[in-house]
Order: sequence, then C-alpha cells, then structure tokens
Amino acid sequence: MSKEKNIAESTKYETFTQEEYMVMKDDLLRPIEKTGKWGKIWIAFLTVIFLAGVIAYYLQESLGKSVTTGLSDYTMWGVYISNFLFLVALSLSSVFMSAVLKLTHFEWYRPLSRIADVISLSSITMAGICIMISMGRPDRLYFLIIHGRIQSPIVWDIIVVATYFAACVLVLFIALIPSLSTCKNHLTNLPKWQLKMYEILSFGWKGTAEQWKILKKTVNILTVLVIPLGIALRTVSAWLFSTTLRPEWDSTNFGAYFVSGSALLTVAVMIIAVYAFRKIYDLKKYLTNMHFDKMGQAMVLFGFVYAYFNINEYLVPAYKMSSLHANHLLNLFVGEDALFYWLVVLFGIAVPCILPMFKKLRKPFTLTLIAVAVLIAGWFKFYLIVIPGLSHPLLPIQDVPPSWAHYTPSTIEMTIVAATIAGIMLLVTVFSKYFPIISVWEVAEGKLEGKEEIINYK
Amino acid sequence: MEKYKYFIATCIMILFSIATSYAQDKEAKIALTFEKADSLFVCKALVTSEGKPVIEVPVNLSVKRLFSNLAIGDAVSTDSTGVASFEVPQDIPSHNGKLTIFAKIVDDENYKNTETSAEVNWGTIVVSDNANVGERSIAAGRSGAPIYFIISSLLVIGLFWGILIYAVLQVVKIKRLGSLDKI
Amino acid sequence: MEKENNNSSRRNFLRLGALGGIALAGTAIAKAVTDESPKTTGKKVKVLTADGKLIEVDSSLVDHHASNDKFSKEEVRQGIEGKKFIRVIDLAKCANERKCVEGCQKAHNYLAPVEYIKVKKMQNSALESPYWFPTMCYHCDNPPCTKVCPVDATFKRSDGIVAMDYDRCIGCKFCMAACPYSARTFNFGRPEQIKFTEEHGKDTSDPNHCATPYAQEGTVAKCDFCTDRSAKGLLPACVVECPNGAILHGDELEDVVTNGEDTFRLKKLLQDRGAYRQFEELGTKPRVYYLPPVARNFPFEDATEAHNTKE
Repeated sequence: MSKEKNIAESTKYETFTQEEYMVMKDDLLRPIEKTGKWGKIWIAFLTVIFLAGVIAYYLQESLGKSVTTGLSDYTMWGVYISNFLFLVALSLSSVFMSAVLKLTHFEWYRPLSRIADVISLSSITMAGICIMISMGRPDRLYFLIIHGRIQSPIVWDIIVVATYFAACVLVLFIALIPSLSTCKNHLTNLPKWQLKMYEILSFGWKGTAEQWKILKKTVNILTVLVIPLGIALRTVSAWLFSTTLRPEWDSTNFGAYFVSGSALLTVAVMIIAVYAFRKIYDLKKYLTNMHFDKMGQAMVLFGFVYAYFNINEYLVPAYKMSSLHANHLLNLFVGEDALFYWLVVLFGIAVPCILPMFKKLRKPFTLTLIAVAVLIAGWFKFYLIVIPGLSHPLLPIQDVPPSWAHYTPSTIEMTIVAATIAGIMLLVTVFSKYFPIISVWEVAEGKLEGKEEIINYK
Repeated sequence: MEKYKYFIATCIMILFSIATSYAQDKEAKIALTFEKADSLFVCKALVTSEGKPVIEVPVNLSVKRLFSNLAIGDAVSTDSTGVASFEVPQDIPSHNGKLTIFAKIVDDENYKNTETSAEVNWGTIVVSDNANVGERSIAAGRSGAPIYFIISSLLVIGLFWGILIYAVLQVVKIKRLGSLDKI
Repeated sequence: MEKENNNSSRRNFLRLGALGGIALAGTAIAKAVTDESPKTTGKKVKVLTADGKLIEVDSSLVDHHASNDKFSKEEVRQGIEGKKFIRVIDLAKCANERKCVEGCQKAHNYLAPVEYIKVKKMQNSALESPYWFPTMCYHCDNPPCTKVCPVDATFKRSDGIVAMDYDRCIGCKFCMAACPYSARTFNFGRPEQIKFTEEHGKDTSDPNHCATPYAQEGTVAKCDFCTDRSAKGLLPACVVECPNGAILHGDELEDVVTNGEDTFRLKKLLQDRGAYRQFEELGTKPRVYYLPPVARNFPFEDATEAHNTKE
C-alpha cells in the first residue's frame, strides 16, 4: 500500500526517477529481508571463533598470564599490542576510503562510504577491547579515569580511541537516517523489534528540505572531523612506541609512517569487503569493476607512500648502522627474523606497489588476492615492529630462561587475536543483515550529477 | 697434609687471639675537644687511662653518616701528652651544620676497644633541593601536569567533543522537525 | 677471630645499653636483659651498627621513624626528607658471584627467574677485556617510566627513589617499554611465585628483609633501593650480600657512599675513578654511577654455566 503511495509522490522529480530508485532499493534491501543457508553458517562460524576468544580470555584471566601467554619481562607486549595496531590501522577506513574521497570529490566513493564506515566502527571497537585484554589488571580499568595522568600517551590513546569510536558511530548512523526511513517504510515482513529499531533510529525522518539541509551539513562536518581524528588516533598509537627511548621505535617519523601504512591497509581491507559484498549480495551494479580499478590505483599510490616511509625507517638507520640500531636491524635484515621480514616487505610493500600497476590485475578477483596478501603481510608487519623491537633492548638479554629471550605467541593469545578479527567480520556481517550496506541516498544523490535538487523519497 | 697444616694454623690463630684479647685488659677513655686554629678545624682526642695520659696509641676519627661512619684521615697516634690531633675537613655536609664525630681505639695491643662521640657545629649546611619535585612537568603526577599541557589538551578534547555533541544536537533537531511535520 | 667478633658485639651491646637503657645483642644475652626491662615490646628488629655489624635489638630501642610503621599512601609518595639516595658500582670488583641477585630475591620474597638486580657480561670491543656489569633500576632523575605511567603508579620521590604503587598499577606495561635499561619486571602470575607469596609473602626472617613486598599479580615490580631499609640507615640487601663490596650505597646530600666496610666521599670517588652513568646520552640522569673496571682485584673469569635458566 505505502509503496504505491510513495511512487505517486515522488514522480515529480525528473532527474532521478522513482522507478530507478525503487529498483536500486530492492537490490540493496534484499540482503536484509532474508539470510541464506551459507549466510547463517558464516555467522555461526564467526560467532564460534568469537566465543572461543571469550573462553580463551576467561582462561587467561583465571589461570594467569604466566601459564597462558608467551609474554615475559622483555617481550611484555606481545601479539595483543601488534594486533591492536593492526586493528587501529583498519579503523582508518572511514578516513581514507570515505572522508578523503568525499571531500576531494571522487564520486566513486558513494557506494563505498558506508562499508568503510562500518569497518571503521567494528575495528575501533575490537581495538578498544584489545587494549583491555593486554592489561595486567583489567579490574582497575576505571583508574584511568580516577587517577589518569594527562601526560601519559596511554591516556591520550584511551581518549582518542573513545572519541574516534563516538565519531564513527555518529558518522555511520547519521548518514543512515534516510536509509532507515526507507527500511521502515518498505520492509514489512520483518520481526517487530527490527521495525521498531528502524523507527527509532530514523529519528522521525520525513525527508523535508530542512531536514535534508541539516543532515547534509552535519554529515559534512563529521566527514571533515573524522580526518584529523583518525590521523590523531593513528599517530597516538604510534606515539605509544616513539615516546620511548628504544632506538628501533625512537623515530620522529613514526606517526606518519603508521598513518601511511594504515592508508594501504584500509585500501586492502576495502577491496576484500567490496569483493565479498558484491559477490554475496549480488551488488555488481553498484560495486563495479570501475571501483576495483580505482582502488587498485589507490593501492599503488598508498603503497608507494608506505614504501617511502619504510625506506626512511629502515634504510636510513641502516646506512649509519649505529650500535644502538645494529642489533635490531641486522636481526631483521640477515638475522633470525630475516625470512619473516623480507616476506613482509615483499607482500606488504612490493606487491601492492607493483602488481596493481597492471590494468589486468586490477580486476576484482586478482585485486582481491593481492589485497589479502597485503592485509596478512600488514598484520605481520606490526608484529615485526613490536616484538623484535622489544627483544632487542639496549642492554643485552642474558641469564634468562630460553622462553624469555624468544617470544612465541601461545594458543590462547592467537585464539583471542583470531576472535578480534572474527569479531570485526561478525559485526560487519551482522550490520549488513540489518542495515543497507550501500548508502541509497548518497548513490542517488550522485546521479543528480551536481544538480542542487533534493530527492524526496521515503 | 694440607688439612693438617690448616688445623695447626687455626689452632695457632685461636691461641693468638685468646692471648691478645687477654692482653687488651686496660681501659682507656677518650675525650674530644674541638678548636679552630689558623682557619683550620682541629679536633683533639685526649686518651687517658686511670687518670694518666696514654701515649703512642692510634686513634681513629670518623664522622657519622646515614649508613656508616666516614673516616677522617688515617689513624693518628697520641703524642707525649696523650693527645692525637686531627684536621677535620671543612666541607663535610650536614643538614643542620652539626656533625657527630666518633673517636675510636680499635685492636690496640694494650687497651680495650673504646669509642666516644661528640657533636660539633662544623658541618657545611646542605639543603635538599626539592624545587623540581613540586614543579609541574611531564614527569610529575596527575595534579602536576603543566598548565599549558592541561589547557591545550582540554581545548583539543573540547573541540572534538563539542563537534560531536553538536552533531547529536542536529539529530535531535531533525527529530523535532519530523514531529512538527506530523502536526 | 671468633672471639674478637663476640667481644666487639658485646661492646656494641654495652654502648647501646648506655644510650637507650636496654640493649640486646646475641640471643643469649638478649634474654637476660629483656627480663630487666618492662618497656620492651619483645619484638626484635635487626639493625646494622655503625661499624657494619648486624645485631638484633628490641624494637623499642630503634628510633621511631615513619618508615617503621606502615607508610600511609601519601608518605610513600613523598619520600624521606633530607635524603637523596645514590649508588656507585665498582665494576673492578664485580666477579659475577650473583650474591646480590639472590640476596635481593630473599629480601623481597620473590623467586627466580625474576631479578631486580641483574649481572650482565659486557664487552665493548674485541680488544677490550670483558667485565661484569650489575644493573638494576637506576632511579633516574629524568625517569622515562614515570612520564608514561597513565595512573601515577610509578613516581619520583623527593629522596631520589622512583617508587611503585602496586595498588595503583593497572599493568599496561608501558613503563617497561619506556625503560631503556630493562630494569622493570612484571608479575605474570607464575604459579610457583603465587604459592611462594602466599606462604612466605609476609616472611620477615631474612636479615636483609625489606618491607616493600613483591608486586601483586598483574603489576610491575622493580628495584626500590630497599626503601624502608635506606630510610632507617640500613644498607640494601644487594649491598650487604656482595662479597666483594662492589656496590656502594649512600646519600648524595651527605656526600658519602659505603659498601658497609669502606666509606668514601662521593664526589671525590666519582672524580678520582672516572665514574660514568650508563647511556648518559639518553638524558635519563640515572642515580647509579659506575666506576670503570680498571685496576681490577682479579682477572675476568667467564661464567662456566648459564644462570637463571629455569622457567
């Protein structure tokens, strides 16, 4: 009933016909209406991994970290912290794959922006959890508020993670308001609570000219805000390392180096996410080959920027080879971790710089393969920043049990890390099951091609 | 053979120490006097035994410190009047200028170990410079953060949260507009 | 030799008796004297006499000092007034006997492989001779660890000590990352240690016992210069235990350091022996100085076995 009424109302718009809109809307809302068998299996699979992580964390806290983790006095920050850095890197998707493109008028951002925003929100949530998991006394978390010292980078980190989380929620859900109105009006055979949720979250959206004006202005402000905030987030997490006196971390370059790495990883994670959504939700019409072509180009650009910072970080100290750096650098270049390091350089830097330069490789499937390699290498890159950095302190490690000199993450640690990754995928999947994963109005707005009209759809 | 030698040596040592400890039977008393002579701080230790000055007995002078006593020069033997004089350095630090000086006779052949102490106002007053402790700095505690640091952090945090709150208020406005439209 | 020791401790006892009215030295005599004294608490405390001997006296004899009581939180944070603790380590005298390591573990009731004080083999170049290098928390005057602590659980006191508040620490381990000397350890909750803490955590029987307990599970611990002992004028466990007198402890304001046997003027010692601080270029301003390993008492002997390898 309401459908017909809406069509009648909106036919007066010439530039973007209601018919087109309805077709698109049906495509985008289909995943919300039904979940297939494989979808259910996928969600169950992710839930199981996530719950395994919860159990692992319970074991870690009840049995003690001495038994359950591979951490020691030298490598006291293990895979939790390197994983935290990786998750924070992913959480900048909103910055690099949405906000920056939006502000610089790369029109192809439109169907990508919500995917980027939801990856950001999920990653920052898991990153926050990661901090708590790595704490020795999670029961004293509130001390950060009652005793917090503003001079400590940890406190900056907590503040900026909380702020970025809030910004991500707002960016995502304010831009969702018109879409949720569509959901509310057009999805009928859904559970009552879900419709009620759409009703609440669409905040009485009527699509009046004034509401559109406020919404667009707010979204624009938040888009601008999220860029410095994201960069602050990434930089502060780099400062957790560069504010120390350890030579391998003591670099003025570190913040920018981390931001550049983050840009590359967000492109990689977006390629994978876009490929998955396009394939599974059959969104080829919106997430086109053109997007992969563009993202492949972005990957080359960010890859070279990252390579540039890597040269600064590793080759300049290596040229001087001061005794402070030699220990750590030689270990990476020719020592124990050399194979590991050069594989990461190959897949994490060389591959994204070179392979997507070929137009043939910027096709969805091949580019996704490249992105997977880049993402995995990216995870290990942070491992190589944190762990060898800790196991090569200024004073030599002597007279310690063998396990203290060489860190190996335990099964429990790896389970928890897997759970945080699964947690991100679970949050993104669940989100896409309840909310349209492509911003209907933003894509529709793009089709206006610069015309100032507001499409009044409901 | 080795063991045997060791045993003999030990026996001799024990016998020797018993003998020497019996030899140390005389009691000596030390009296400390302090005087300033030609801008030097001189401490004189008069050693007497049964009212008579004791000559040729080495006296150790030391000044009390927190963990141990700091020796002032080497041991000085008493002269014919029974006096051992020491020059006390003028740069020994003290909180209130007071120094506790100890004079000791240790391991003498004829006299039992003895010790006396006296206080003298010869210390160089040192004041613990704790100006940096209360100072506001990056390394100070929660309440000691530098003012510029607090202000700039609050400004940045306030700016970002201000915008976020503004965004929330805009959502409230959208909702209000929606309900107005109904009426 | 034995006899002389007995003599001197009896004399010490007499002197204390004269000063305080009652004194106890050695268990046999101690009993006889306590009977005469109605005021004694009956609680024995161990004190180091001026000439470096350890005796046991009744606690009522020891001057009342804040450090004898349980410190209130604020007092712990303030430090002892008019003191600036400092340490000088004579590298020529260290023979890697590891008595300091064991003494420290006993005094603070924690178990290996945790070490507040470590002894490392250092060699600057192939031509130079290696030397043993005891290292612990340097109680820096510009401490990188207190800068980064998010909750003020580690802090600099007015007496120079960088202290830890185990009740405050949240276990983020940032201080451990920030310390360029790897001086800090973390209580990961090793089952043996937990059991040991339960059974012996309040054990004060060690003559060098230090009131600062080992960290709670999930918090950071480190050398604390045996805070309560230093306050009372008792030398820290590592200093007392070192058979070669390599570790000299003292008060900067008194300009004196001592290993219990020899006492030196601090500034003169640093000047005469060409003292240095580890990684001076980092600007951490450590309160621990090293005397270079020149004019050694004995040649360098490499360790025949790896120490502290038990997990």
